[in-house]
Amino acid sequence: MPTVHITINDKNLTVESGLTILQAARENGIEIPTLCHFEGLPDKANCRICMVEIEGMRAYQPACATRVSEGMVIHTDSDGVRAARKTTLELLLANHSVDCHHCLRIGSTKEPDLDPRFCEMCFWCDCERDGFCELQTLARAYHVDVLPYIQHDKDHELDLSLGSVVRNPNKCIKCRRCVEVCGEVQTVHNLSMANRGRATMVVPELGKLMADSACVRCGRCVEVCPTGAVFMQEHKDEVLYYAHSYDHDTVVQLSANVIPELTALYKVGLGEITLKKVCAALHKLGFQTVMSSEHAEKLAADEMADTIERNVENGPVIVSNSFAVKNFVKKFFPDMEAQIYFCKGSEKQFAKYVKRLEGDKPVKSVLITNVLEQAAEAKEEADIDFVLNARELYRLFLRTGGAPARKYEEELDKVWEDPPIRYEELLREADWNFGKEPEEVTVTVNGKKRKCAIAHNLGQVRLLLEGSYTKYDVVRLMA
Amino acid sequence: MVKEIRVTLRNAGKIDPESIEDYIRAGGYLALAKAKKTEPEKLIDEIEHAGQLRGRGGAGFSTGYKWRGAYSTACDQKYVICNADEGEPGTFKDRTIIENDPHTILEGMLICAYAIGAREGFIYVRGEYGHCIELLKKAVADAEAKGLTDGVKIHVTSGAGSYVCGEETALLTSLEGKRGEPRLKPPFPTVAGYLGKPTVVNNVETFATVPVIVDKGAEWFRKIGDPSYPGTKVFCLSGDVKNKGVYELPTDATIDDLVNGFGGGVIDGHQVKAIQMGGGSCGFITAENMGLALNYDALRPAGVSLGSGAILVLDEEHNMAEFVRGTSHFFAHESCGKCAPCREGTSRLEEAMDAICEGRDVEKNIGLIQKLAQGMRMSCFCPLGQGAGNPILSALRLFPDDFRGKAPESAKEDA
Amino acid sequence: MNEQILAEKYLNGASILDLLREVQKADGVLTEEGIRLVAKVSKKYPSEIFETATFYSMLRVGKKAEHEVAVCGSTCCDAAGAAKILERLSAELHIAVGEVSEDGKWSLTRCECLGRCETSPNVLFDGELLANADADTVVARIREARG
Repeated sequence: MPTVHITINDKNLTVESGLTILQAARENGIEIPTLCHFEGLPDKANCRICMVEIEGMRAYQPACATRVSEGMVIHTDSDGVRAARKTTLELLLANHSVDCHHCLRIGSTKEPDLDPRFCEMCFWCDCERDGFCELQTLARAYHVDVLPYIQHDKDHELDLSLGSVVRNPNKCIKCRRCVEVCGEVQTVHNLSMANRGRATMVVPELGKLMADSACVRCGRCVEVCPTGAVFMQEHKDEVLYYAHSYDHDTVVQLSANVIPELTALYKVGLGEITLKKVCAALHKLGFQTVMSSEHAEKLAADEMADTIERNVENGPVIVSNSFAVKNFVKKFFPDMEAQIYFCKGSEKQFAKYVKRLEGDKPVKSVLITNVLEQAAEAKEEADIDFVLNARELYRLFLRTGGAPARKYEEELDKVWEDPPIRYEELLREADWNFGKEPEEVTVTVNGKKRKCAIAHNLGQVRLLLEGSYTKYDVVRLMA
Repeated sequence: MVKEIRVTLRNAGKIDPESIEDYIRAGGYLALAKAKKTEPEKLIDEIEHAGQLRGRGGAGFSTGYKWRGAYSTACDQKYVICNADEGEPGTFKDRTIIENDPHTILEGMLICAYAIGAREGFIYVRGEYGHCIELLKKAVADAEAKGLTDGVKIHVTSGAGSYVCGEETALLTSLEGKRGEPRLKPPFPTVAGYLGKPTVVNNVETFATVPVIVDKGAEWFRKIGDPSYPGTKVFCLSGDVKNKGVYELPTDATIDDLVNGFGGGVIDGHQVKAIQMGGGSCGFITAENMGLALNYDALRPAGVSLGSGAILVLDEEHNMAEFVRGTSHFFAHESCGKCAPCREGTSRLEEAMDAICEGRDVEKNIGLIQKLAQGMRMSCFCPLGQGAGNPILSALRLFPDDFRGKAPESAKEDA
Repeated sequence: MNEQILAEKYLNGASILDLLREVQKADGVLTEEGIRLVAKVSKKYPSEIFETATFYSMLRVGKKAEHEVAVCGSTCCDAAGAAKILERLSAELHIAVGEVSEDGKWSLTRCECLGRCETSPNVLFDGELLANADADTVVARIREARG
């Protein structure tokens, strides 16, 4: 592998050629702050936060998009660089509705050691990203506490039209991660840029409201947004009301997919937050029944397995239990709708069996999952009362002081026996990724080896439905 | 006094711009024929040898170097693009060249196409120049009818009102039908330009100069003007002078030659207060620097540049704070919105200039502008944002009283 | 705007900006239909065309108003007092030049030369040429249309 010699902050390094300065620095434990950069998406160098000083160059260069070259001498933290970053942050914050800044604690030069988690307790900061906002973290790191400009922070109205994915353009910093994900990865091409200069903003297709737009509710924009400009409608207060209510029973279905993000949000070590500890914390909050989502997931997989077995002999079977895929197909491939087997997702299975738990009191069902499309489905098809994701759960715990890492483990409630697992490779809960090509697996169905494809994002779904699905016996679509 | 040497504008006023016959009669398309008898590599050598014919658009980048880049990048499809998106305030030289002699641009492009191996090209004309588009379309059609294009397809297209599209990578994105936002460099357009193919983008004036260099040779061209920036340059003289207009001068002529000689001096009874050198995004000089020669090296010590060749003369009646306030409005309107410091910063500069001109918090806003302009110069994505603070800082340095004298009369009386 | 004509132009090397200009020339503004048409012809997504259309100052995205009033603002008409007429109409319609009223009924624009300079100032009222126009006549027409 060819290498080059570079110097970062007086440290002589030998790094692989072709790396960006950011990659080279991170590989060597040197941290450079970023804002629009997102692992897996192409770098656009829009935010100008990762600017570094390269000797011999007139202006600073973006570390995310500048490749190392032989003899490069780089300073990532000089006074000038820090001043430039702070100027940019001030500019961004002055055009951002800073709902987390009321007490001036965040980024305060006077209280540098204040734990941001403490801020959660005062109930004044009401941003959905408070505590894990990338802009907030940077503002703290660079002590941006007084803005020298007139605040422009309430220029736009919130878009609450969907009831699930909510947009608050006042918090948008135009990093374009969501536009990239919506257009290039998911190929929905809904979120897009409009206007120019100060008036630049991210809007749904043709400037419409989300409900009237091409949105398929996959929720991926929420996942990549660094601030609170796109978020899932929160139900914290209502959920707590019912958890505490004597007139209702609450049944929670808890999915293991929230654990990694909860661990990251709490900044604790792997394994310190487990499903069982979260279960204990939820019981403590007043939720009567907390079940693992495994049962519903297995029921969902079971339905898909049955569908596959029944139809595999008649050409390619396309199965999906994703709400966003269903919307996507309706919008872009209406002719194929009849050809695809849409099965119930785990949330619908949950909604089905939760009805059976109803006793004397009405039951409120709460689904805790990090699959954001399920929240949208619950809202639109109204099977489930509330859906919480890891972020909302985190904020819920912070508000109530129920940190799961400090709890003892408690067994989850188990009501029914699970069905057996079939074709795990194909029907497992799979991750979303940025890849262009669908994953290929081979699975034996009805005694014969079958070539299968798994789409991990809507871009791959598009690729398969445009024709390449015919190469496979079984195709599973996820958003 | 220096004489005007007309290279680029050699045919201006002498031929009918709508007549290809006129152009041919004046020796047109001979350079193209001559070029085609030369090896592409030799041709590029010649252009490079012409004292690095430095681009006439504003950046002053070596033309031969660009051509060589595109020539040596192997690809089945290459493009040659003429940047006629003349948007720099105070600049109207490209329009003048197109209006007078559209064929010389076309000939320059065809020579370039031959040199780098391109079969297709575009002339991207500023949207506001409707009549130029018609003239160029006719020129292309006439040249095609005479078989001079030899299968090279030149399209004439236009922008739709965006200053930043004059930046070459933004021009390429605009040409591809997208928002005219600049792209990351590298890859440079000569490697991956229009639709990702090797592309040469040159200014109108550059292409108009090419046929003469090919015809008369690099040696001839190098003998004109200052050796660091040989040849001639077309200047657009405007503002408070008697004879506004376009003048083509050798690059060793001085500002004084241009303003007082060709321009006939400042209008009667007034004197030079400031001269903005190179266009709306550039700095100012005062009368004492008028002895400087009109080339990059000579101007550097005064902290200014040649830019696009716009020379704007302001007399003592102008208040410089008011003047740069107008400039700040322009940049806020033209920022593309891609990068954070420019998108937010240009309008903050505007706000601060408004405040200063209305006499509000003058010292605070001056401090803010200095900090902001420095941050933007170091952080912005493209020259628009990097240079947006330049005219303000320059005016502030040379004419601080103009900024501080803006406190409201009542406030002064109180003091 | 005819889809086929547009598609032909695109095939012959017209850029997307050229197409948008064509559509705007025909419709006065770029409506949703216009943008979708350009998207279809150029085989792009409507959102991509929208991104482009909102970027350039010479392109206007919006709804087509029920009634359109356009005042020529080019040299001759300007010299004959076009600015005054625009000012008066703007006050009458309660919209700025280049805007569409909130109810979508009225639009007021300043257009380029109509080639009728001998009768300047010229006003286009729903496509009908009002030659030698003065503000009073146009206002009267507006009130008449309002009923």
